[in-house]
Amino acid sequence: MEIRRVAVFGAGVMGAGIAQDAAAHGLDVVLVDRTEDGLTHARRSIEDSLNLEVQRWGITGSEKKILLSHIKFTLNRSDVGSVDLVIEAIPDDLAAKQDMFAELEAQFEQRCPGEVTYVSNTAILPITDIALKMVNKERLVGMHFLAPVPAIKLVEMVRGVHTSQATVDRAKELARRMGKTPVDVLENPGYITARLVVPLINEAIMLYQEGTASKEDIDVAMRLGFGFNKGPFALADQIGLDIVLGWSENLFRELGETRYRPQALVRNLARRGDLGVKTGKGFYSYETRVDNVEEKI
Amino acid sequence: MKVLVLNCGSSSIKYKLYDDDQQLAEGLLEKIGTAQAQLNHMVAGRKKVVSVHEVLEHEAGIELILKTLVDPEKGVLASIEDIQAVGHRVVHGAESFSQSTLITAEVVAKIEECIDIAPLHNPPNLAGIYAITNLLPKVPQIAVFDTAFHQTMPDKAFTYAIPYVFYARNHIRKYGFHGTSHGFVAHEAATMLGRSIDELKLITCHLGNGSSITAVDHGKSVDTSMGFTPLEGLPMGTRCGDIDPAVPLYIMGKEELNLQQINALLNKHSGVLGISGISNDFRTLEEESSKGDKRATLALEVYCYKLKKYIGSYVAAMNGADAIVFTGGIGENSDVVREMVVRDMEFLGVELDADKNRAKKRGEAADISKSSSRIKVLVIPTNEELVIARDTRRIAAAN
Repeated sequence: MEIRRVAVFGAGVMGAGIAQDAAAHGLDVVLVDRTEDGLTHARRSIEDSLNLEVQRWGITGSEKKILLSHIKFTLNRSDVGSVDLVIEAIPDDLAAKQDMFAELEAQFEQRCPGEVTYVSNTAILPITDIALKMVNKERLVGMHFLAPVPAIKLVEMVRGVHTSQATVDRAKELARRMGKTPVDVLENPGYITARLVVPLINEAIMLYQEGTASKEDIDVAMRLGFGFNKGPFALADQIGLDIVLGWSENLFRELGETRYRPQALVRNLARRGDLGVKTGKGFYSYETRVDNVEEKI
Repeated sequence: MKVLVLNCGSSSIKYKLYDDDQQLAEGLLEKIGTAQAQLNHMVAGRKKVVSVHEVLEHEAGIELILKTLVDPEKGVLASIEDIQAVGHRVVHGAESFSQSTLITAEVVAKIEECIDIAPLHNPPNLAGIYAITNLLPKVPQIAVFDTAFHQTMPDKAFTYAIPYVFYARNHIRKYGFHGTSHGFVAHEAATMLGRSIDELKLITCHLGNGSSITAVDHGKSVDTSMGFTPLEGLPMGTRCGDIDPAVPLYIMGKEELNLQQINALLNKHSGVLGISGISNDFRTLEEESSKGDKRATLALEVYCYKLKKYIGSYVAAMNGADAIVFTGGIGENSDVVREMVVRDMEFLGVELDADKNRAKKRGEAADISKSSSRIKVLVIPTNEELVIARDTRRIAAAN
């Protein structure tokens, strides 16, 4: 059966991004959060992102309206109804994720038994551990979407010990439907992306702090020298410094190698709330782009 | 012979049912892929029926249409078996099809091959063909291509001046669209002029939200304004038409736009909407222009000036013309556009009768030129579905 309707639990940056991108690809989405503030913020961030896309000529005003009409925002889990896939997008906290899937399973197995695929949008945690309290562990798979979700065409497909092939296939179908290329990974800490990018960012910070080169020059060198789309500092700002910090802590704890150790500079910036692009300031400052286009219809 | 004509879009299906040339019913099913698909079903002399259904894909949509056609209250057929043939509008036939064709497995395979160069249009057209194959397996199906009429263009007209390998390897060339409409109005024009199409040089202007113009020499398309895609040629409601190809490259660099954004900019944000900043609807533009809006006026002027230049170039290409034909929503209904286009062309032998132009009634064909005009100016309502029905009937009867 074709995937038509998905529920996204957790309306943070990732949840809102996944909901927006799924709706942009014609899926009906229910976005659920525990707080009114969370939903309001998600709606605003989706609208801002779409407004920017209208300003950038990517979509029209009426396409924006159609897209928004495909997303239902709700505080109430029982509003979700029948869905083909359930995507959890709450912060990477193992206990919270375990509890959430136990609750979601109880809800959806009663409503549409055996039909729902469960997806955890985790960047770092083992799927087998997340599935601990589930009955149907074979139906949980990890999909690591990267932010900003609509712009990044990659998703890491993370298989746990119990994950069935049918579940992986179903999640890959969702990935392709959303215009993403899936890559298969085992549930080892950090998968491909976080595992490789954390030491890169850490090393860049060390270079900078040693005085070897400026942030700007390090970024330029990596962009022009090796064809990176963004240099390590701009990349860290895009990922979010709170996220980078979380990844570092987790990888350092799990793997014990000093190359993953959280950097004091990242910790300090994160503590100040300078989290990168999403807060307007991180390693760099991000002013709102003043568009020079005229009024649009 | 009762023939069902289908025009399947990505989320809509238009249909008309004919008994010979007589239209029995027509309708539009929109929002396919949702639980709120809306069916507007119309039968001449009866009230329009609107209903909402869950229609998740094209086959379910066509099943719903077939059920409606045999419904004791809404329908017009006693049995589904009464449908003797189905005609499909297929947008792109590339170089494989120069005329309407009976659909066989081989034809389906060739239409599938064209998906590469018509990724938006051919898949829904094919969905309609697959659905009828399942639902009415014994009924012959005929494909009528938008591109077929233009396959008579000579290579000097369809070849782009880029490395030839892109034609040889990737089939990049001018194909042209709206062929069914251009062909239909060209034949109607010959009838109106009381002459054989084999002796006429005609310039047909299909002006709707998408606009194109074709040089029809002795009944054959020898040049047309749309190209590899429907983006080339005249400026349109929201499409840019001909521009310097360096412009999108420059904008992409300057504004850091990606392919999807520049594609949407040229297809959805440009044309008369882009110039005016108001609307892609010509009625609104004419109204705003008459109130003094300079950009609405400019949008109309750019559109009409480009069309005028195309007419001039096609007169040159054919070494003359007997008539200019206006059709499509704007061509049939905007006397303002028609006048702006053919005004001040006496040198070429075009003399508009302004009174006849303004007096032309909706839905009627008319000659709006002065009797002294060497090149006649005609307005002819198009009817692409009727052409599809006729081709379908002819080919089904012969097989």
